[in-house]
Amino acid sequence: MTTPPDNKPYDPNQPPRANSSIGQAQFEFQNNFSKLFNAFKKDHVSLDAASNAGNHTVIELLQQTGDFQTNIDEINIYSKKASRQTAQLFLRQQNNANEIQLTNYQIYSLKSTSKQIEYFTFLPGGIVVYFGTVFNRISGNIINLRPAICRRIISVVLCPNQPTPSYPSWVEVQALPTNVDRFYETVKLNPPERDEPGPSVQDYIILGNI
Amino acid sequence: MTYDPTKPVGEISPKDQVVQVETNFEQFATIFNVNHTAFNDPNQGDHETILFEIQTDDPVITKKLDALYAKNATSKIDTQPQLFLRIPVFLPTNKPSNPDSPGNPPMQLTYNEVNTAGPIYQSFLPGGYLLYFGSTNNIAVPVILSPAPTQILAVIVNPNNLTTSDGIPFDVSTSPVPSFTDRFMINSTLNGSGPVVSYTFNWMAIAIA
Repeated sequence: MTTPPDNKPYDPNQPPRANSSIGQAQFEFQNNFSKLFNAFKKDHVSLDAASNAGNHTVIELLQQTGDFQTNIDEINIYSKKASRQTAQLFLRQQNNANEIQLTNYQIYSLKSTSKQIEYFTFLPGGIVVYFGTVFNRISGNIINLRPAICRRIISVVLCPNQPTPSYPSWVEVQALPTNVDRFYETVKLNPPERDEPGPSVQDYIILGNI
Repeated sequence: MTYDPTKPVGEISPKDQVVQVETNFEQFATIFNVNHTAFNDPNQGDHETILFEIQTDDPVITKKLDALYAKNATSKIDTQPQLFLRIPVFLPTNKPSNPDSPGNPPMQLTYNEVNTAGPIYQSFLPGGYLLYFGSTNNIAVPVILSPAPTQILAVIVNPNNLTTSDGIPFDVSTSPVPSFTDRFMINSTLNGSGPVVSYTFNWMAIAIA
């Protein structure tokens, strides 16, 4: 008997049929065992591993086109293309309750400048978190929001980062963005007191909707 | 006896391979049941748990999929396996913010510790960041973050008091403590030259784990 070719599919109806012998069906036996072995090996510790067989190595969640359903006592994690994004992780609560987008965008390191040290991350629900330090005197009292993916600024909090206490700057109501995608790119600050320079260095945390 | 995908073979009588065939069926069912609901159960095939074996390399993604996996991550405290996510591509925006084309580097989603008991509360953020928060009524001593982070990136402090006796909020600032990566000072003139007032400051900090 030869080894089944790779392109011979798994056949759940083989073997044997009622009128066939096991001997005649050994090719199908082996093909199915081989296909089970290879398919299960994807994302899992191999069936013939000396230990931990069946555990996961990686979970690859193929991008889905629709939402998944859940029953009572089930929650579901799956991958779906998010609006204006790529495949992201989603969570659906039990019994087809809320779907929550767990991950957003791509976190990466931003280059610091003499004006600003900046970082960003995200929270479940499509929320981006910008944070870092802005050097007011040379930044022109502007906080850059990078990456520019924020469509609505939810909250801005500031605190002077210097030995001398001060009131923080105050934040203007931001004009609606005029760029194509309506992304906010900056937050404008104002000195806490008229005719006063305000704090020279401030830490900030800004939350917004993606 | 372990699962053998190369059996049965044609040169051997079927009766001499029955044990291996049964073993393959039995082993597949047993191993499938490790992280999944077993065969013949109404929920067969569902995941019941996902036990990740730690990986040394990041998966390469060539299709439209998200990859979740465990990999060692080093923090200020130690090195522990953490859950990582890798998405297919760097996401599109009409204004690419990073000219260096960051690609799709893996993102650390978890940290091995949270503190919900206080007084230094702590959780984690995607990207290997830690979020700390709490309050203090003694700014003569630094706020010491635990678990200790590698670097404090941003600290926000606000006075919890409505006003001083002069009717104005406290001015406030934070400053690092030289030679320490796990603490910061809260500075305030409090009520200035006015009467001493009790105070509380709420604070929040984000740091690299």
